[in-house]
Amino acid sequence: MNKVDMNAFVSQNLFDKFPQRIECIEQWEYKGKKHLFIGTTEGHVLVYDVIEKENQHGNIQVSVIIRDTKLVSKKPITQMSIFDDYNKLLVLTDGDLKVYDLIQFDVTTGITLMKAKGCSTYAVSYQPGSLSLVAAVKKKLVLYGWDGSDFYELKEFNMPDIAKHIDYRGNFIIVCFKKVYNIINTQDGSVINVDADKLTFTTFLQENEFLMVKGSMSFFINTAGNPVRRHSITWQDAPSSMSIYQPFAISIEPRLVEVQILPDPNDPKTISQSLFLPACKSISAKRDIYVSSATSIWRLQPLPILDLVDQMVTKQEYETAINLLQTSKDIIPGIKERLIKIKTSAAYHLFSKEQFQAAMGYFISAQVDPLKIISLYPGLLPAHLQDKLSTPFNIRDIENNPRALPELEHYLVEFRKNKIEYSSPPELLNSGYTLQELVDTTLLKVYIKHKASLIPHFFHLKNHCHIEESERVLLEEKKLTELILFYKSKDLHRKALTLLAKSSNISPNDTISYLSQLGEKHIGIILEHSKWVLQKCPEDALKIFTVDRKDPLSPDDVIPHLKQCAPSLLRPYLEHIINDPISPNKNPEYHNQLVFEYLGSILELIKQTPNSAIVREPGLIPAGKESGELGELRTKIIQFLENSKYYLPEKMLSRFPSNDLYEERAILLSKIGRHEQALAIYAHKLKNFAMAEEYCDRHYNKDSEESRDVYLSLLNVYLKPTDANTSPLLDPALKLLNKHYRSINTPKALSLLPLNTPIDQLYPFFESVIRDNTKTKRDNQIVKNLFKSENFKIKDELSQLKTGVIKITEDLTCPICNKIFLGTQAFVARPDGTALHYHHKNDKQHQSWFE
Amino acid sequence: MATKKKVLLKVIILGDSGVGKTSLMNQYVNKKFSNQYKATIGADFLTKELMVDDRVVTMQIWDTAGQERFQSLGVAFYRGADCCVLCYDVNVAKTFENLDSWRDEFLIQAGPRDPDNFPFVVLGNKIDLENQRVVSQKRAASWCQSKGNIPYFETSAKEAINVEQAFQTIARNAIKLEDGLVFPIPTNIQVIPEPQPAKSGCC
Repeated sequence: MNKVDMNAFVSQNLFDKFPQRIECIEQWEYKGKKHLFIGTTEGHVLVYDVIEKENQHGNIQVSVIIRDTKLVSKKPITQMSIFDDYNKLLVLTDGDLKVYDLIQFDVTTGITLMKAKGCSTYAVSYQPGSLSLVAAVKKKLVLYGWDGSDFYELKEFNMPDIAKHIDYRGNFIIVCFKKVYNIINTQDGSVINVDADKLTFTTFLQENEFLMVKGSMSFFINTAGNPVRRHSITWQDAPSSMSIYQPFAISIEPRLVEVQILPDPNDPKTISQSLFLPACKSISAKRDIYVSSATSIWRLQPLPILDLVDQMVTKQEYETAINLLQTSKDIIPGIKERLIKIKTSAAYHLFSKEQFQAAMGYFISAQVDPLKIISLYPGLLPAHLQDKLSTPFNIRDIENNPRALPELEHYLVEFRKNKIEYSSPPELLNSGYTLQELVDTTLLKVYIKHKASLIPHFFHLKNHCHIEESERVLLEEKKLTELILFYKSKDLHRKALTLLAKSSNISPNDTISYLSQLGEKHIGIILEHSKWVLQKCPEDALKIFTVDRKDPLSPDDVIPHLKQCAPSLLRPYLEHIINDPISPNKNPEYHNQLVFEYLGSILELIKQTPNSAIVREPGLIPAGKESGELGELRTKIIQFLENSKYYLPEKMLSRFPSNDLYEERAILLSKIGRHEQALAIYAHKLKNFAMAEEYCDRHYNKDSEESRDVYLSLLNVYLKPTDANTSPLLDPALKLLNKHYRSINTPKALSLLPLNTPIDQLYPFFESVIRDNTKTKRDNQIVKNLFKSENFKIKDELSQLKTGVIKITEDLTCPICNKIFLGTQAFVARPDGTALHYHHKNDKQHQSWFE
Repeated sequence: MATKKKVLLKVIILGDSGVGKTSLMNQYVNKKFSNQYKATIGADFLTKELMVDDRVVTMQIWDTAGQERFQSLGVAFYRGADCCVLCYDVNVAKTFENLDSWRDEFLIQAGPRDPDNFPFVVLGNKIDLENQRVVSQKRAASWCQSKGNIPYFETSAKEAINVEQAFQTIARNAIKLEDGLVFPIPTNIQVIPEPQPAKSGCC
């Protein structure tokens, strides 16, 4: 560890040849006046007034004037403590602990603590609001509390040996013996015994941590007895006594007084000052610091903290300087600016020492502008900006340093989250960059250099990368996939797609999946860039148009495009939009189009058949049963023609051949209600009577004018073919007649039958019809007579009711007006025995009474 | 025999506000559930000791704020994470759609060297509200598959469904990363038991 010198204190000699031998010193401040107490071997306590004067250099000159001398004891004053809050003096002399009131300092009124008789040493824990005392008495410790004016006994602890030194703070007492020390918890009485060879003494640093002094070393130990820091403090010589005067530790050594700044746990350093004040043995460090030898007393006067800070800055001990400033209790004007300045210097210094992480911490805390930080890594800023910034030093190959880059990455990521305060760099004005752009572009460069696999994730997020610069570096590094992602993140789809199309090592599938992610907003781009993939691999490219999108493409754009570039995809595309289970397309135009597509393909297939061995005869094989694609397509078209409600059958007929595709034609005819024509196809072209009958079953509706006579139509079709070459089909006609006689108008049917029809063939028909008619007649007769008897019954009831008698008395009132019937007033008698005034009958509101 | 060092795993839970991150953690660690919603501010963690194979593992589960305005975590927080748990609510499509961003954001913040193999686990929470569900298991599973086979669990913090299993997997995957950092394990390891020294070793 390097040793750094400092100049934190100046010493001023107050006594050179003190007339008595000095044992101990203490200080007391009362009503703003300072006093110095000196305890001597001769048993005197001498009290001096301390007068402080500032000289022309701003330094404080101290002088002392004797005020009082008291002979307290015949033996040396071994130890002495003053409690300013209570104005009490505690003295250890001749094995006695005595307490004096300082307001009227009278030796005779001292109170001796009786239990502490034979005390060899003591320690106090004196903090605002709490005072307690522990006295080492032979192999015992006696603990005293303070009630505000007197000490009172609290506890006793037995010791294995006579204590050499004790220290007390809060709830813990550290007792030093020759080769061990004990940590006593005064609350629960627990004791921790720790071996420590060559132990001199201990001194508390703070509540639960103390320094254990051993030879010329001090170790940081906690009250559990464990070392808490990795480092120790090394002194020039073995300290005999020590005081903590934050942030310093002052050690009394045989030939000098040594001051060290208590080291920062994270970065321990020895920063010390040696004051050559020989043979010192006592120190009092409260508000002021005094040290004494047997015959001399010096006052140690701290220099202004800023002086020390400046020293540290000069010695590049920035962290110490910052700690000094931050922990100082003094009010320092301009401390904030000063801290920023020091931190900035610290950051640069650490950076130049390649301590990147620590440096970055200071850069952030000093709010150094990001541009300056980035400029430390050459090659990351655009040249025109880098030129504007002078870097204080260059670290070789830092832009590829695996320790340096992650820190910049870290910083930039943090910056992006708006978690960093900074000052705006003036260089950015008119540079073509915003700060956000600069930060994100730099982050991209950092990723390119050392974490390329993060680039895709970076581009998935919203980024502010500068377009030209990012483009340039990605191209330079041949990061094409990343460049495409970048273009995409910036909505530069044309560029992305052009690149995709150009790069031979990227398959058309990438273009396809790229285009599949664009919506209607980018229809122009989709159409433009889908051309080549549609031509190169149409099957896969169809996905571009059929994939689920939030912002779906309009078929009005897609259909003409497909027609032009990939006509073969039109049919699957139309099928897709029409059969979409969630929102099927209902536009008649597209439905028509799909029919034409099917038709076109079917006709094309039929045209090709003559080349094959078997000559196709229309209608021979039922539609859809053909082998291969033709069968499939016909199944599809038939299903579609039957199920779609949106195509316009009128428009279709002329497109369909009249000498083929009979099934399809029949469906079209049926859709426009031309049943007879449809049936003629089934009967004569296809000779499929079952289908014809099925057709009738499907369409017959006795309540509809149009469909009432479909069976009759079929009969007509069977018996009176329009085509002169076709002979009437008597057999199926009779079968139909026999089966469906109920749904066929008999006279009309009879008139259709050829005159030469053998009557015996008609017998089942006639029998059925006649039986049916007879049955109907009988049924009707029964119904008629039932109604008749009902009618009689009601008539009888009516006459019964009409013959009722009602007696008009004075008690009888009209329920409408609640009045009686007077004289010859006309009235209406109701079947239930009540009567109403007749004149109410004209009142509309009372009509219900008369019904 | 080398003593196995004690393992502390840092697990970070991310996801939109209100998907049940805090509830999942509470259910797993404290076996408690509350219907009351209280936004998490900043981040909070609970620890739980568990056994993974034959090792005792301490899992430090960091619950984060889903609401942007409560997110106060710096980059340092994400670095050193051993596993990231992405949560969504199966009844709210948006929370699922945002998983992509959460994942990318996490990777950028944490900056792992090998982002494609960083352990994630996806939890689809609130499956107890089955009739309101909008994100199908298939859809979620296929997303997880496309991101390098992220393990996927359907959970209910309320009914304690799958929570234990999910966190077990989280620990297992996190520990892989830890181990991987110390010494990459070759794919084929033959474990040959050490011959036991004879008890009566006196010669």
